[in-house]
Amino acid sequence: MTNLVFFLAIPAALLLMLVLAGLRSTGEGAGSTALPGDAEYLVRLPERGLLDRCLAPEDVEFVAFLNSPPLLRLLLHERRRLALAWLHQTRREAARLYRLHIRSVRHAAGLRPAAEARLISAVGLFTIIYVLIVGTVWLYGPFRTRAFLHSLKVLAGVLLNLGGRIADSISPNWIPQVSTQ
Amino acid sequence: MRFFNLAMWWAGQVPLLCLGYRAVRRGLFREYPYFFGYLSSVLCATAVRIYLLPTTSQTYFVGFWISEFVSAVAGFGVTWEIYSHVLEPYRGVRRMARAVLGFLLVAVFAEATVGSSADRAGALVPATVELERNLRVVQALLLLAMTGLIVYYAIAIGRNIRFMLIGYGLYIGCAVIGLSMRAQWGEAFNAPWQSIQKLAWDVTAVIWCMGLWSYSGNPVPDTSLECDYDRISQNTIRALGRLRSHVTQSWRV
Repeated sequence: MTNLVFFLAIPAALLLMLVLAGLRSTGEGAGSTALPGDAEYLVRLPERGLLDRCLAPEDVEFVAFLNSPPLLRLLLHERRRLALAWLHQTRREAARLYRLHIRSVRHAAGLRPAAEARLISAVGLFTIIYVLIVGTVWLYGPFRTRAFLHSLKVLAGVLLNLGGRIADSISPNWIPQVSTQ
Repeated sequence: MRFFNLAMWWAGQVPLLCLGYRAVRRGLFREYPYFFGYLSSVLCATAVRIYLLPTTSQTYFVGFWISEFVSAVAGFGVTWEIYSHVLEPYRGVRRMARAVLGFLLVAVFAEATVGSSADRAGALVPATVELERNLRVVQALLLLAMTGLIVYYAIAIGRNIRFMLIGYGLYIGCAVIGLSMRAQWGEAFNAPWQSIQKLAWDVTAVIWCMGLWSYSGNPVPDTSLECDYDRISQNTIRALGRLRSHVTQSWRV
């Protein structure tokens, strides 16, 4: 039965790809014949200050001081929405850069599979991080995500220190020596 | 039922004959020799099968499977035709395609070697259905990889090749599905399998007839758009790295 599923998955993927090819080929090439200029390669990052302002603890403290649970809920809901919008903007920028790359290199004679694989892995890594952060923000909200990431960083620092101290405390005499003679 | 089968058979042959006639008149044979070679092999196979009728005879059975196998092998010509026409002007993508297709073929052979060594010795000679299915699966994988590259790099393809690809992809997809089920459930699935096969072939023949009615070459890309690949690749990787660290750094207190 596993074999059958495998053999059915291949034609299913092929038919899906043909649909995509059919859809793309109709509008392909329009407006994308020229090579992109240098300005297009600039990374347009969403401002970090925007996120800092969105996650400012003062706002939460102020609303908490007003002692109004619906208002606090509204604030948290809005801040989550803003944080997700900020993240979506970074994803859009990554997608733009990737499309730009594809558009530029399809004519390149020097295209190398290894370099393309490296690029795909870079995109994959970005996607993993993006999905993890979006998932955490969506589930726990931006404030708790930031606190979680902060505690994670502190924990990593502690473990790093601990590892270093353990390594330092090992006396060279404890390590078996290999005779060179 | 007999009339339905006959109608389905003719529905597949008439568009092919029309296409053959148009190809002779318009000289399409010269443009797509492997594709029309495949079509000729299919028409020859049909003639052989008619000669070997009735379908219940042992000679027909042997002739049917031999002609099926020959058609499956000739099908690689269509894949080659698509590959050579679509990727001819894109040297870099062609290299990428060679790497991907080479990897796929090695993976298929490795899987076949491991599978046959784990199995009993008798399994080294697979049944005819399985042999044809395996050939079609290899073709499906090759087409999948090639279509993937066409979609990924948004390569422009002309009307002829687009319809050739869609038609053949559809036929191969249906053939793999039908043959897999036939291999799984045996003789009991014979009638539905033959119907699937015929229907897929009819649709494919109509698609080819529509798409190859007149010559429409592939768009020629502007070769002046050649770029410094290494520089662009490095720029993109660096930009993605910056974006990644920006996302992670921004969430730290």
